[in-house]
Amino acid sequence: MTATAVAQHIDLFRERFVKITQEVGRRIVGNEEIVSSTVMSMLAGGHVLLEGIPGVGKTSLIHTLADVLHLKFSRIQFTPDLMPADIVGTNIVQEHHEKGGTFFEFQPGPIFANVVLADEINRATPKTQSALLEAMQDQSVSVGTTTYKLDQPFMVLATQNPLEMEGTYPLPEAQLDRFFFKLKVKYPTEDAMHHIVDRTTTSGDISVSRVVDGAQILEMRHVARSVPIAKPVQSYAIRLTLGTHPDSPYATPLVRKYVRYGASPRAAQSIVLAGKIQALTRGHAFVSAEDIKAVALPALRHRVLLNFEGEAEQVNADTIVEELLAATRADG
Amino acid sequence: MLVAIAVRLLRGSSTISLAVLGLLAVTVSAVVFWLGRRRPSTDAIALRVDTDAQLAGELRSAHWFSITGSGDEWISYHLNRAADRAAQVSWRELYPRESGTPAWLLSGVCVVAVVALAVIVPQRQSLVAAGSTAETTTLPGLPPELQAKLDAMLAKMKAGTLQGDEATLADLKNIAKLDPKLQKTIDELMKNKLGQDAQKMKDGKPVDPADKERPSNGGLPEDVRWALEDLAKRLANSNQDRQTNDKNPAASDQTGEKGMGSDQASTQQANSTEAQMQLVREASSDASASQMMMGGGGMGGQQSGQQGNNGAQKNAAEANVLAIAQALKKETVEANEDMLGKNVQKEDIRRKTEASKSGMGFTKVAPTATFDKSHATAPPPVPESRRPLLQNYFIRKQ
Repeated sequence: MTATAVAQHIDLFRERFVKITQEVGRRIVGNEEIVSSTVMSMLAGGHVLLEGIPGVGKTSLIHTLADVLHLKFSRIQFTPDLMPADIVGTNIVQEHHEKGGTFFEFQPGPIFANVVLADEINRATPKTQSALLEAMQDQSVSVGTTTYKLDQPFMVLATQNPLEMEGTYPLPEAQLDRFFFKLKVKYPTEDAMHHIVDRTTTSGDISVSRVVDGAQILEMRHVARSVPIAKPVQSYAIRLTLGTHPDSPYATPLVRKYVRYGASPRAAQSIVLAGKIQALTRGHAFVSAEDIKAVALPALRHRVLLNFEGEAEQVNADTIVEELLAATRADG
Repeated sequence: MLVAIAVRLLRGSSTISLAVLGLLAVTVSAVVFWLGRRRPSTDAIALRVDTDAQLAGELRSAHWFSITGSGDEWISYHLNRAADRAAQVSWRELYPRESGTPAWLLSGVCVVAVVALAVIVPQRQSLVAAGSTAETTTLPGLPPELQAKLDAMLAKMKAGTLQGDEATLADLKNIAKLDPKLQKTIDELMKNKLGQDAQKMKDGKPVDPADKERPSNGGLPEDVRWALEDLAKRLANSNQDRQTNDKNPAASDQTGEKGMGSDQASTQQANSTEAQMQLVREASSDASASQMMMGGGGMGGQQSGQQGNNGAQKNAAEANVLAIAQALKKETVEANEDMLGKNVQKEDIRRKTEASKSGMGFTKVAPTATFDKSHATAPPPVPESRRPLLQNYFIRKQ
């Protein structure tokens, strides 16, 4: 690969990224940062947890993204009586018409898709929530003694309501850690509300076109992992991750006071990989500390587990991470 | 420059200034050499330059990859692009070269001034000598041998080596009477001398080199000597006040005390000054004179009016023991009191409780509790009807 080829890869990556976000933006008003971060997670091969109150467009965003991407899409509505087999699939008895007799045949569940929408994931029990663990981490599903590989690209986009709401179960820490980003969908602004009302109360339906397919997304993933990162910048990402641990020398006062467990090494992986994609979206062939800083909050906020004092005082994990970002020097 | 000026003022050798100048030159050369050496660039330096040039971290990243080296195409592309962007930066505008001309000019002027001070400008001692010869007092009609004696005495006074024996002082005073200008000069010199002696006494140093040779110096303790000085000052002030105060009820020819308008007032004032001066000298040096002064006689203006030129001296010498005792007592009391602005220059910022001056006290102290036996009651008597039962209970049956 020559320098020209590298430049072409960067330009193509940037062009496709902009296309996806622009196409999603045609239907989703506002929340450009949420759209961008969601696409970024998809290009990194990660999963996204979208949190927000009902009606702010979480499900619409994922629907639109699936429409823009030329990928197989499935939706799982999580309910309290949902079982793991309803997600991953199960073996059912089939009759052999020619030879006679019966046999077990695997009936794949909705998890077998490229883009899986796990709607209101925290309304199911932890037992069912955990059915996604293997799929999210290993991109495979085991039923009985057989393991089935999932098609690539595979991505879980989960939505959840805030934990204070009725009928919700908190996600297990292991499940939370498997999400690349946790994005908080905010309530739209007044201008955005006008746009939403205008688009949804008129007869015209806004249609979106498919701009990339699965192969192109896999190619973009490969390009993203090719971006070099200097050790001092990588060290900054690692120090940010270590700083979430209360016994770390990089920990801030808030971390020492309110955090029980800090982020796992997956957080550092997420930060660096997202930093690379962030650099590519800016047309850079290198990762800067600013890129790392821009993606640290969504990568760390759901990996910081508060202690009893933090829970009692209703401390926001975002506040802790923001203080960490302000206190950690890029040249340390 | 400052060292050269100080050396010149202190009459030091010019070699010191030149040596310090040479030492500074060597030090500056070493510092310039140390700062100008080629140093390896660090990530912190790269980050700072990157931030200054607003290269968004590209220079920093490229710096690290340029050190580690790699054959990756992405890294090569990154390095080439970083080099192109760095070449577009106007480094001269970003880091303008500081003009060192004013500093170099100032340094050169200072060096020239130091050399000039050390080599060219004449010594201060010769200036002093020239000034002292110019100030020689010449009296018209004075015999040459007397003029020479006068010059020698004035020179000794200026040098501070004049001994305070009476004969010398008498000669000096007699000569001084010849000319009012000379009188004024001698008075100023004497006052300066007195001031220096008093300062030396305060510092605990000998007043005069000759004092060390006098065995009688150890005869008087320091506190007694200070008390005598204070007494002498008060006597002189008292005499002066009485002589100059028109409202002095004791001012009369019989008592010898004069008011401000009397014809002897000026003479008495001069005499009291001389007495004060002489008394200080004697109090500090001569134990026998102090003993004689303590010998008896009344104090105050009754004695002063009957005395001639040495009246104040005799007056001080005849101060009675009672006055000395009072002075000593007063001195002791004053020494135990800290007067802000007089002997205490700083205000005592300690809290009152720390200074043991707290005005707080307990006003409602409860009286000592006493045990009122009248309220004590004896334990109830054992009912006689139960006594046998108790005895049976506690006495083991055989």
